[in-house]
Amino acid sequence: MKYFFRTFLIYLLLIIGFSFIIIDENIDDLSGQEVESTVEFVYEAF
Amino acid sequence: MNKLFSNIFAFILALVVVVSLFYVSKNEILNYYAKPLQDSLQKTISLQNDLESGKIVVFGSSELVINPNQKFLPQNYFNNDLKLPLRIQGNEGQQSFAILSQLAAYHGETIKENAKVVILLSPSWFTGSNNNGTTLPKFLEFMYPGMMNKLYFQSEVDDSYKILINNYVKKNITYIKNPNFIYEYSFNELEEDYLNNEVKKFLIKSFDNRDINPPLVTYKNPMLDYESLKIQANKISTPSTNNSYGISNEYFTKHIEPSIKIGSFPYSIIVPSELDKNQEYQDLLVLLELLKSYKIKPLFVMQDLHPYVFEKNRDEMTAIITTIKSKIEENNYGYLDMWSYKKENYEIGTLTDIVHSGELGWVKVNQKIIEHFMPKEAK
Repeated sequence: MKYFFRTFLIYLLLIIGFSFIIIDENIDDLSGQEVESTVEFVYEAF
Repeated sequence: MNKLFSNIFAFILALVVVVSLFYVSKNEILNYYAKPLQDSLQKTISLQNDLESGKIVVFGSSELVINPNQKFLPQNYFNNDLKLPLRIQGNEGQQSFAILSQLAAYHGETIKENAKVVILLSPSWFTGSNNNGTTLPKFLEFMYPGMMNKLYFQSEVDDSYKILINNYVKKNITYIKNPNFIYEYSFNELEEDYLNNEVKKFLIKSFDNRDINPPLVTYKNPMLDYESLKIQANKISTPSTNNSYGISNEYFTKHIEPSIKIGSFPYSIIVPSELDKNQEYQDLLVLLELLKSYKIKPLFVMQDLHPYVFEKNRDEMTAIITTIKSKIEENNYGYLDMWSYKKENYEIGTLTDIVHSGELGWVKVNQKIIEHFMPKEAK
């Protein structure tokens, strides 16, 4: 039983750690701020 | 054997605990960690809801915003006078590729079933050099990270559209200031990274606060007398007193008189030599293809270039307009042709300057929108 709880705890920490890393990385990828162009839009009013 | 069994059981139990904990406190965790992502996605929801609910959405460019006080401007007339909901989307510089990209980002069953789309085409989009398509600053304005996320990780559109948009980004990447992840990586690279791709799809889905089954907007023909409205439109338009073309006094003084003085009036229309190298035309063809899956046929409005002002090279431009018209009609889409094939047929007041609709022009557009989306009930 002791062995079971010890392995359960290890797996729990590993899964939490792995999930945190992967979710954090993907949220970071998706959370980009709006970007700008280096060329300016010039409206030709005719 | 016992140890192996114990390990497997411990692993499964740990997985269940983590998944359950995540499921229960998903909102708290994600709200804490992902506020910018939430805000970016929240911005996408309004247009998506309008398209999915069947509200009429008019895509266009400068004509939608340049004279915001016009009575018959669709957003004013439908919402204020007719009390019929209508949304406009766009401003100066929005062209076919930006419209295509937005519709591709939202593509899905509900939009295909319900969307009522009007696209105001400006002839000027198709003029100029071959490289006349949507400019990068305007693309980035409408395809901000939230929209790009939707396109890559939520949209049900065929991958060919995603690749096309991705190719545009790749072609212009050197002109993007500090491009972030969603612009920097190619669509194929994202697809190949299976695990991260699935996690991103899950995250986008988790943050998608939109109403999945929005209440449908329905319309009833308001049975208007358009001839009276045209008379009213002419009455409320500020009369031109310094020219006989119906061009507003201010515009004529500021832009046309100097051209007359230097001898560059009437204007010449610069048209790309070959249609298959006309980027805007190519973008329009892709847009027409995307709209094929829509149950409700979209409506296209081809606007005019003032025939008394843009006189030179008009035949070449007419050839392009005629080709565009035939392409749109091939798909049985609605089409309002406001192009003046002969200048004698131009009705003064249709344009308020040399390219933008006046009150009279808007009455004609509104009439077509009503006839297209609100057919009269058979008696």
